[in-house]
Parts: sequence; C-alpha cells; structure tokens
Amino acid sequence: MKHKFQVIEEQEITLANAVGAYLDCEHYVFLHGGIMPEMFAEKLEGRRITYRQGLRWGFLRSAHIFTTEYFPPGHFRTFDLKSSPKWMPSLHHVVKMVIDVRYTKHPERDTTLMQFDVELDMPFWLWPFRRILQGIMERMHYKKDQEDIEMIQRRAKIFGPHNISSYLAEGQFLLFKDDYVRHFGASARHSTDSPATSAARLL
Amino acid sequence: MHTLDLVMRQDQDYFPIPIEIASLLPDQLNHRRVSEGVEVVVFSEDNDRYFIARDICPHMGAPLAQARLCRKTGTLQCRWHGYIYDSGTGEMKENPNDKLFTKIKTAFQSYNPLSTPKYRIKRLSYEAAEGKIFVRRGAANET
Repeated sequence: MKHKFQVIEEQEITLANAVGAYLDCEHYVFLHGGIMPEMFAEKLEGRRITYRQGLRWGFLRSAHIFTTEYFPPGHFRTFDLKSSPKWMPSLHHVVKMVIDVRYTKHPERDTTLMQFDVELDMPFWLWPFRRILQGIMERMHYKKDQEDIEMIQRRAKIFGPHNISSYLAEGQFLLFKDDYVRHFGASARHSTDSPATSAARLL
Repeated sequence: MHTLDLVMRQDQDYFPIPIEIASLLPDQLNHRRVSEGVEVVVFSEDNDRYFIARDICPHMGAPLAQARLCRKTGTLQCRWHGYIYDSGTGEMKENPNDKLFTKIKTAFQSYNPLSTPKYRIKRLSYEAAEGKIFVRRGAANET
C-alpha cells in the first residue's frame, strides 16, 4: 500500500547555496551529527552515490545503505534503502521508500523553493502507522534543513548572499562538483572573494 | 574606571570592549563581544596566556564558539565540517572527511585536493592588565 506526502517550503537562501550545501557532503556527519552520526560513501556510479549511514533517534541507533541520484541542477532522489547489516531488524525490510528533494528558484523572489516528496510502499499491517512514519521523516528533514539554512544564512551575512566561491574553489570537495560548477559557476562570477579572504578582511 | 582601562578603550589599535579575565571559564571556549559586530573566542592556555581568535572558521565561516576544544590533543574541531585545527598555532591539522569520502574524492575534475588552502585560525594579539584582556585589531600570527 502506498502512502505519499509532500512538504513545500520557501527558504530565505539562494538556489546556488541551497544546492551547494546539499552537495557539500563534508558537513553531513558534523553539522547534522544529531541525526546522522556516521556516513561513508561506498560507491559512485555516474550520478548515483551509495552511502552507508548511521541514524539516531534518541537512544536508538540503526544503520542503512541507500543510493542518491542527482538530477542537475537541484533534484535529488534517494531510493533503495536497506538495513546494514542485512540481518538487522529494520523498517527497510518491509517498507520501500523513495524520497525526492527538489530545489528550484522562486519565480518572483531571490529565494528557494524546497519540495520534499516521499513515497512509502508498506504492507497493510503497517498502514495504521503511516502518519507516525510521516511525522518522523518530516521532523528529521526539517531539523536537517534548519541546520543547513542557519549555516547558509550565517555565510551569507559574512561573505554575501551570492558568494559561493567556497563551493567553487578548486580545493573544496563537493559531490558531483563538475555539474555544480557547470550550472552555478557562471552566476557567481561577480563574487570573487574566498571565505578565507573575506575572513582576513574582517580582521 | 582605571586610567589604563580608559587609555586602552580609546586606543584605536584595540577593540573597545575588554574581556574580564575573571569571567572566563577554564578549559573551554569562551565567546565574547569586543566591539559592535565583532565577536571572539578565547580560552586560557596557561597562566597569563590566552588563545584569542575571531569567531569565524577560516574554512567556511562557522562560529568557532561552537567548536570542540580538546585540551588533551591540543585541538579545536569545527562544528560544521569537522576540520581539526591546532589550538596552539591555529593551523589546520586534519580533514576527517578525507576518510569518510575517500572512495569518491578523486571522481570530479573540478576538485583538486592539492590546491586545498592551508587554513589557519589567526590568533589575535592582546594586552592583559588589571584583570582585563584588551584585544588588538589584526592578527598575531599573520604573515
């Protein structure tokens, strides 16, 4: 039985920063350590990355493997979630999840529309609990988004709202960086200061 | 107000708001405002020596006040990306993400790990007198 839900939110950040933060995987286990204390990239095939991720809900811990596919410039689909190790009891044995996160530029303002679509394919006996599952997923996504927005807005305050030079810098690792540079590099020509330069200027 | 305090507050080389030494909590990062819009982190290294730096990680601008200070290893770890800095020199020691993403780090042409800057937290110099720290504008270990 399929249960679908959607969250759409306008975020006070630019599209290039929203996508840049999503691709900036180096912050995942540190900034979002409260919900994903462990994360390793296992495999990269084209625009698909397979991760092993540890999760935490209060005192409970679990781990799963999943794949995320990137559709540039701002769409990410997560699917094929499995428990790790396989014998570990997990919701993933009985519920198939497909999660789409889409970032698009707001048609009128310099903000970003975040669209979070989830499809849960579950057995009939779990159906009564679908709203509980939805709530957990929405809360986790909201917490992660708020941490990202806080980071992006602080950076915007220090370096300027359109400054994505730190993401574009040759020495900064980003997932699918070549695609990111292709799609957002041109729009950032006017912001030449690297964060290190801006920070030094602030002194 | 003491004479020295008055003189330092008016000295353009120093930020106008001194840090009260007695207010600093030991073995942890203290977050203080030294001027309008200027915040610093400070901790006591040993008697009469202090590590003071702007509250900005040189990598991506994270608040260093939220960093993890480990006195045992002599390191500061940024909360955003986990970069580890030497809490004495301010120089970056390690990027723990190199281990987490080692399998995919060579996959993208526009990323060149050899060009990663040597990030460094710049220590601010200061004068300590009469129970107060007067933080100097500019960095102590700037080259």
